[in-house]
Amino acid sequence: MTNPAFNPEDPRLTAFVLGEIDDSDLAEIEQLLETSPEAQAAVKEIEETIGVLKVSLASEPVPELTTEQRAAVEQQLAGPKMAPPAEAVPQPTHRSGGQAGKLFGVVASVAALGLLVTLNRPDAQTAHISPGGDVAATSTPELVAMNDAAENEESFFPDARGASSADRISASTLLKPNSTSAELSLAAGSLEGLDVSDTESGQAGPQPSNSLPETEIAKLQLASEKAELPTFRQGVAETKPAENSAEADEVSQPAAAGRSNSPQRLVADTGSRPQGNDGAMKSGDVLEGRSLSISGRPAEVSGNSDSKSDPFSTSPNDSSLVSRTLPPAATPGSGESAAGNSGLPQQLAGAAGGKLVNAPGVEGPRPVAVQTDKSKGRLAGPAIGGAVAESPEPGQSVASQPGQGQQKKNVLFVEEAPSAGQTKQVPPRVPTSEAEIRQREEALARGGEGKKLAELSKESQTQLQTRLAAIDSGAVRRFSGRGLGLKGRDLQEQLRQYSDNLSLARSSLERMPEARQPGFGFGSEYYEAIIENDFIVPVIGDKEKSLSTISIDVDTASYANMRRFLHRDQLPPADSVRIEELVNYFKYNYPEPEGNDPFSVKTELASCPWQPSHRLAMIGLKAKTIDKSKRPPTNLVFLLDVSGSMRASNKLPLVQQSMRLLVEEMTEDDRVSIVTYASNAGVRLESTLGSKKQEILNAINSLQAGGSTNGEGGIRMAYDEANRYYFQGGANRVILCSDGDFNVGKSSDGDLVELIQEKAASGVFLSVFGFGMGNLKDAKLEKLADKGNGHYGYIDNLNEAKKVFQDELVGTLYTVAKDVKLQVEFNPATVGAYRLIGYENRKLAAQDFTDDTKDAGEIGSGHTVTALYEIIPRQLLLEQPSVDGLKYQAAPKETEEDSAGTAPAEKPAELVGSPGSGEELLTVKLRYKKPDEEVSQPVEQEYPVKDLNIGGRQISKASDDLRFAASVASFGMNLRGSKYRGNWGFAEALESAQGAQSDFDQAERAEYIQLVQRAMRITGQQVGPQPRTDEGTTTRPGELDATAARVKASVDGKYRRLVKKIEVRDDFQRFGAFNDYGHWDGTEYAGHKDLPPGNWVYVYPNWYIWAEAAVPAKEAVPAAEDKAGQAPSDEVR
Amino acid sequence: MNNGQVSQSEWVREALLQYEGPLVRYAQRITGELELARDVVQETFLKLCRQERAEVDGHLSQWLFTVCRNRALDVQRKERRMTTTTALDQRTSTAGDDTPDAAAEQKDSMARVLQQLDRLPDNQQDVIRLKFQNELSYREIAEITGLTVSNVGFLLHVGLKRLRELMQVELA
Repeated sequence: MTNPAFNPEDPRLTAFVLGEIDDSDLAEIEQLLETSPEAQAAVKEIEETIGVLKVSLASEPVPELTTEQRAAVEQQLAGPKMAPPAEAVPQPTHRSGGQAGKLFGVVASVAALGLLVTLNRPDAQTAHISPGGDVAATSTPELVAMNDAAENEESFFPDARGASSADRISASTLLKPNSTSAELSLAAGSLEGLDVSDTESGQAGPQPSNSLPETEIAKLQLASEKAELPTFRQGVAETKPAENSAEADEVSQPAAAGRSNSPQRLVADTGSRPQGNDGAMKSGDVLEGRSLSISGRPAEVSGNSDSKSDPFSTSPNDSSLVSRTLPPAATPGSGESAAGNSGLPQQLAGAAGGKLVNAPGVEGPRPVAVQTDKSKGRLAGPAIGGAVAESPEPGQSVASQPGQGQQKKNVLFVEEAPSAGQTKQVPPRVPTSEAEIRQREEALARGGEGKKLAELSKESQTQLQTRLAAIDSGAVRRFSGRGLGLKGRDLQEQLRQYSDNLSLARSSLERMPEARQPGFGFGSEYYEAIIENDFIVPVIGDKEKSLSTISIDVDTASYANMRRFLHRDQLPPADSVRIEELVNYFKYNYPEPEGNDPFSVKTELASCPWQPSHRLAMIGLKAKTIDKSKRPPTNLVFLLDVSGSMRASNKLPLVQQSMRLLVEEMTEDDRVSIVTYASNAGVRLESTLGSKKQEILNAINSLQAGGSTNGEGGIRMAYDEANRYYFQGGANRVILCSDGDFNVGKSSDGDLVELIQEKAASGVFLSVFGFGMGNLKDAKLEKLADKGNGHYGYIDNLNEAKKVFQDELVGTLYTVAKDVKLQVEFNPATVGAYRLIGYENRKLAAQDFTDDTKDAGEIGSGHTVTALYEIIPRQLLLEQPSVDGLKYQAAPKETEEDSAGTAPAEKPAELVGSPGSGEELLTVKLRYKKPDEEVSQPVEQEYPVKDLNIGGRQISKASDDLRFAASVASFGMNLRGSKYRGNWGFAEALESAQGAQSDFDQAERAEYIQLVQRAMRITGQQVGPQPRTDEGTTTRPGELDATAARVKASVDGKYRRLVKKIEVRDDFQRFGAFNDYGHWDGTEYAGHKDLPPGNWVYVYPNWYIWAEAAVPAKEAVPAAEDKAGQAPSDEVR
Repeated sequence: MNNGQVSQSEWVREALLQYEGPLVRYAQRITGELELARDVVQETFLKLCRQERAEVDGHLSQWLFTVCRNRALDVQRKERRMTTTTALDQRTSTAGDDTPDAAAEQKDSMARVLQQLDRLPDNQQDVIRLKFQNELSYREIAEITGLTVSNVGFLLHVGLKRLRELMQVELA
């Protein structure tokens, strides 16, 4: 073949970049690219343009239907419309589709709930990756019934919760204790059976079995056949091991296949479950909105516990339970995938492993309500237990509250797969569409976390057990269990009562934003549920209660992620909001550390703004700032996910841009390597000195996303590379850029975490940056960073990239202290109860503080870390009206104190500055290691904090930092729909922030203020001029919504092509609410520069600058032009 | 109980959940007005309610975009409005209602890209949006727009090229 000639007009270049090229042309283009630098340049340009374009297009708002319109659709649905034949599976299937495609949504859940279960259809890749595949089953009637059994609930919950808490995963607290019934955790079922109590499982078991008539199975099969869902059928019918393995082989390793039998069987069993439809309906009817989801979870717990047996075999009941629950989910999923795809074998795996995720319900966009992960390996293996994760908040939230989205989320855990022979993924084919890729990613992603959890749960097994008892009761009473002294117990009572009162008071103030709109987009993202920290009563003699121990966290990803949502005019899913990450996104004006101290500590106390009778304590750390010019050399290894999924949206291009930014910052002594993982994992760029920038840039530019993933090699290579060029005394760091689909070649995500943990011991730090949107696997990335001694950030745009890779590069790269732990000891004599705000997944046990083997957070140069505690003064609790706590008033001190604060709950606002004793409230202690010390001498320091003096200190007198941090925390709580948000809403948070805009961290704070305003607009709150912040109280015109304003500004079509819109709020005083000013050529106005010439129209509060004075604007271009297939030549202008 | 119906309902709900936003956004480009776009999308989903699922399964997104697009074009013709400005408005409002700072700057840059995009012929814009905003394949776009696959490829290629030129001009 002669060398093809390069023709810049060749559309195949674009097709090549997009993976749309015909096979017949592929070779030619590839050859062209090899031989023609021009062609390479052209392709690169195309990629760049696409990258920019995608980012920009993604920034466009995603408007939605009105509520009425949705209702109209609902009505239509309710009508006696044709109901298609029982197609067994209710999911829309299409793999092709755009974003939509990625969700192979299955709706198995209760219709009433509108809970959607999305099934990820793991493709080949996925299937293996998450050997187990997650299956989230929506509630099935039986399950429900089970749930209803109080016993089950109790036992299950504790487990789930204990495990999670042990893990320090806030999400772990799946269940809300209060929630009656609906939540059943499957895992519990199996778990229970295994290690807890037979009785429970027994109960659960029987029911399910009853309800599962054999006929159903048949039906199912029938249905599936009808639907021509080969995969599904297999999954369902899979009673024969042989078949399974055969199938599995295609996708996975033989070993895995062998193991997969049990999983399959599981599925098969489940298959018997009513078709998704049936199940869904019933549950809907019966439950009325309760959603139950079951997840097969690897119940490590059980595994750990002596009963290592297969859940199925161990307790028959369990197994039946499991199987039942799973089926619905599995069914739909598989069905879907089959339909959508050409029935790939993988799917089977998928089905078996079946990963289902609850997608946001129609009514409430909760991301992933339930996730189940079941690893085949696990199931089959001895250690496998089927754990079930329970679902979202009990029906109450779903059914009864429209806005439930905000309420707590559930968590699901995924399990981990045994590290051993997980399936290996051998992607049979290259994904043909992005949708597919995403699905794979999702499936993969889900597989991962679980593992870790499971592991963790091992450790915590015992703790778990002990906690069981305490957990069943209401959240507030969670401390009433053992270990609580009499006094503590009573105080606990007081607290409960107090809390009740507070919520009463609050209910009148309700102004929570409505639930997040079901938006498009985050259905496939995964966030681990966060159960907020509760108030805790410090008890003398009980370390756990008197001490609050956390690992510091300098992650900021949640903030950037929230920003992304808000810019799309959506509220972020509640569980994506990690308050500490919001607070820590900002810098605070803490003092620079002195001497050799790696950081300084600042504490501040004020009345709590959203609950003025409470205190708000702020603890701030500031790490030593290393001068940029004096930084030691760095040895960086970029570990880039360049699998097909990274091409999907603004991922790889943004990664590349980020890297270019970083390269600019490199000195000649720095080193950079690039390791990519995809089908052709490998070192793309051997460690190269910063003096050879062009070489580095070339390597960056040549990156291309495509193919499948083989990540395991990548990570090893990355760490090997980092170690090979290890800079003693420098920064040695692997920077992982991924969308979270960090699927490793041969093993599960859990293995990956292990691997990273192991590698982190080498002294190489890890930074994880999340890119992309739509299927971000937030929880996983966070965990990876956590285990890899690292930091987790989310890069949502170039600006953030600039911040991380340029402006704050030193902080990003240089760790000044590691395993930084903070412990706050509360004085039971003065503190009635305290609550840590945020850090739900960073909590440590008290004894971990001094345990140097316990990993904790790292802090980079110049970083600030802030922790906030809300404190209820002891006296406040004691003074609760109508509580017989008086006998404890005799306790030392309390009665002597000024007692201004009466009946706090009634009018908290008046209690600003409730009395303080002036005594010590708390003491802050720190421990950390120097970055280069493997086993270091921990440094410990103490910082006592005294209570406010009598009269207290009003928040308004607090530092800008505290007021700002309080605003951010409050904003976060409101976004989460937290019950602790007190009497502050967005407006108050906004006001507080506006009053706290010091010169410090100005741009970020200003942006934050915009975000709050945006959130207010999204929730329909009046954002308009704030009388107290905007000057003057002049009556301002009302604001039109954007569309209406624009229409008005066009002066009925007189003007066209809006080129600029600038906000000048005060111009209404000169121009009125509306003014057609006409043409003006000025380039600067009201602080806005570089304005284009044009026709200016003022519609309060903006000026609109139009490029064209509409000529006959009415003459629309013939619509036909839009769609007509014109000859290519016409296209070129 | 009618399983089929539940199935249908859930199916539509799921579709609504997934596609509502993208469709409204897309329709808005054509109709030029949010309200019209919403009406179009509502009609699209009403139509979906009446649709036999079997006929749509496997190519739901394509079906939705096709119906939505055709309907939007009808409306647009009726309303005799031009397509280009509304989205622009929104994005400028995004950029404009915030005070100056880095974020706004960044938004501005995105807004500029979108402004340039607006200068492309409608059919190029159309395929670009379908491809890069809605992530449809060439084939699907071809089905939706009635173009041939190669025509779609051509429009994308030329559109991207033109867009790049426009951006460079602007930068210069």
